[in-house]
Amino acid sequence: MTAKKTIIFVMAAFLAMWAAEARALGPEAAALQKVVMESGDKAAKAVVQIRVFRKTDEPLYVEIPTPPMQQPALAPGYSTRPYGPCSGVCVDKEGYVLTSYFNISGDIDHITVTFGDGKRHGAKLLGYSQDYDIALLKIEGAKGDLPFLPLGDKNPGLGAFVMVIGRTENVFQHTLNFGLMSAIGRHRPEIQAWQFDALVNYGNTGGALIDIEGNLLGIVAYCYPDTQATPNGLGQSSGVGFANTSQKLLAMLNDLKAGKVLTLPARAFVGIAMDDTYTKQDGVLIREIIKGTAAEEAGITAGDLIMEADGQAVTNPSQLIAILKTKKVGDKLALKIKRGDKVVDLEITLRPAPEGM
Amino acid sequence: MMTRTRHVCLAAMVFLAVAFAALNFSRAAGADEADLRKVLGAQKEMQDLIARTMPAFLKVGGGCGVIISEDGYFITNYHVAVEAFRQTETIAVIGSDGAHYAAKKIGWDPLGDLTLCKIELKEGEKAPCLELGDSDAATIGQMVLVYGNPFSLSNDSKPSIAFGIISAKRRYMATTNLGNSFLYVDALQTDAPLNPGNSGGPMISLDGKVLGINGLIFMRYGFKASTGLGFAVSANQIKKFIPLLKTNEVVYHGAISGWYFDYPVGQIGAHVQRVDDGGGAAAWGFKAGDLITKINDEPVPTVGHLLRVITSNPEQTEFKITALRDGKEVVLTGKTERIPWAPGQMSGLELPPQQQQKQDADRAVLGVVFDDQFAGPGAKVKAVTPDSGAAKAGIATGDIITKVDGGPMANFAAVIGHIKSKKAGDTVKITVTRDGAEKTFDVVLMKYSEIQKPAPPPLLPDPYTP
Repeated sequence: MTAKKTIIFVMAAFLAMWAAEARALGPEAAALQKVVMESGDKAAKAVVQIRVFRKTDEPLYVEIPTPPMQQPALAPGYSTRPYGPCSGVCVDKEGYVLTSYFNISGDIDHITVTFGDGKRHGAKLLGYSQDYDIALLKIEGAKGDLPFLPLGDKNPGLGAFVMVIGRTENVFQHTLNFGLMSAIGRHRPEIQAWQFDALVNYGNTGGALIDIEGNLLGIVAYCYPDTQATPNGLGQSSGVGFANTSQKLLAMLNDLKAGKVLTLPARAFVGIAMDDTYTKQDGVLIREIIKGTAAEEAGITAGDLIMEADGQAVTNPSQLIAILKTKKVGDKLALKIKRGDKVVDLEITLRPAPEGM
Repeated sequence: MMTRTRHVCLAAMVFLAVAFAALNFSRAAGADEADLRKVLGAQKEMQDLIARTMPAFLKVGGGCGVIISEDGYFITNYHVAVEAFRQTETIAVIGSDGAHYAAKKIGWDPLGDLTLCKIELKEGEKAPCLELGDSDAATIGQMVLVYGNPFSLSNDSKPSIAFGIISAKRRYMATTNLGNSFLYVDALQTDAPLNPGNSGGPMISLDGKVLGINGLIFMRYGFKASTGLGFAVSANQIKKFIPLLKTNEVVYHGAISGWYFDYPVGQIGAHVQRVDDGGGAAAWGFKAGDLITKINDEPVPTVGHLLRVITSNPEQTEFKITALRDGKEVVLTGKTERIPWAPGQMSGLELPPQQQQKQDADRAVLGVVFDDQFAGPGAKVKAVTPDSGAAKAGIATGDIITKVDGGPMANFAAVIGHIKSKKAGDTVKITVTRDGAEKTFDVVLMKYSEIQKPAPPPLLPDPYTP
């Protein structure tokens, strides 16, 4: 081959590579696909496979609530926790791993945590909470060089692209499910879970919810039986998944590290039932007062119309609920109430909910 | 000379390699940045779209609805509204900002699983609304958002938002749900998760228009949760019914009765196998052997397409149907009939409660449930109501009713039509075929209120049962 020919050949090869490269880059859809893949890869380094070895490996039985529209005869009576590994997220280079409480509940003998490179570590359970569905594991003998996703305070907002990253049977590969943020602030005010439509099943429960840039948004919570089609191991996701938010977990982390078992605080309770059918939009109509509550003590009666709460005008139940969501037991609530022709100002001290409420 | 050439050649190769690497590196790095910017831009657009469209969303009873005009008309599913309005004529519906509106029902479309309602607005108040889009122009693979309140989990007034694509359009199926029969004859199929509580909620295109309202899911093992097969009543079908719903309490879908199709090899179109004497198709002038090729000058590729075009329109719609007969084109015109919709007889069909109360009290019934899948001729008995006239006379499940009072019965609709003309206490002669033998029974018709509704047949654990 002469020199000229070689140069031409090299240039031709170069042009061919250029052309191929140019074709691969494409429209916005290709950009989305690429970003999803790359952010997933990046975040997956900190997503671990967890195996829980139990002293008595009894399946966990959960009675399925039968939804009103369901044929009860077709429902399997019980739910078993499936065998096999589950997912968790390393949130610190020292080897703190967060996962769903559901994954580690039971009579634990020992736990192993495996990263995507196949390196297996022993781990022990620190703090946990069944109410929040969260548990903290500590990798034993960690030397401060583990890949991790830091907890932050990101809130990408309703409709943002999200991904769920899990790591299960094949430890060398992660799983990725894509979706949108469906709702913000679900469940109890203390939990304020995020809802998303990326598919969640037993394997990726406890895995990472990340945004499109690969930041950790939260830890995927156990799919509640009533949002799952067949919670008996066939576990079919319904596209309604939840996550504990990074922000919330950051606030809980020190308690979890100290090995505390966290429970939800008692719910601040007013003791009124609001009339959902009242449509005049000039206040919140009280339909009923629950006996033995702060509302009864303060002398609120059925038929009262709440016009203001803490100085803010309320025209529908949603607005009043939003104000109540910020309250704790012991807090005070100022109400302006219209009773007949009179306007009454009241202040009530919120108490825990009576038993059974 | 040779060495110099080799040097030049080598230098050129090294230069090109370095240049390629450098260029490639810079392009790769730049591309990532640009890609992320594009994706974040798309995310922003998606969030803006949600913020813009969410105010038109309503919580209605156990489901949802969407406002479609500034003066407060909104649409929801029939199966949502029929439950919501069961007790009262005025209900409260909740806007996405938490406002409670008083709402009234305007018109029912029970077979199309649609109800038009209206919220009461203050003087001069304009409702946030969304336009109905063109569902025929929607493409398979197009991205959509679905709004709803799955599993009634919302603890504020905001909907849940889910994302998916249009998996198929123009789906044709007749189905039953919650004891109602529905015709999703021009449905959009989506993989966006739909669950109980999503019913009546809008399916929204990325340009912010309503492509349909979500109302039906296919499920497995009877568990009501998303399988990735969700169906929406299409906006184009809805648009055809809205003017009628504003002026009629109930609207009906159109059909042509008394024709049967088969599928000969090598023919494109709908091939008429036979036509019943005295049926609707005979009145149009159809004959056995006709190959229907066009409806309103649009090609008819399949039987399903023909029936969808007819049935996604209201009754009394005029059509021009072109058929090939003995190699020649014939053009037939006419109006469609009302789809027989007899409450309580076909798979537990229900009328809206107010009407049901009026009609149910002393309506004459035979006391059987017909198999609506039976191709005929005749009407096959799927179940017999205990203690009904039919049960007392000895009619049994599996019997095929061929004659009533001596007149031949082509299908179950004909039987229902005949019974309708009778009063409770009348006696009718029912001729059935049982195990190949013909038997005749004298059945005393009873009042609907006197007999119990038969229990629905047990669902089999079949993974493909809708």
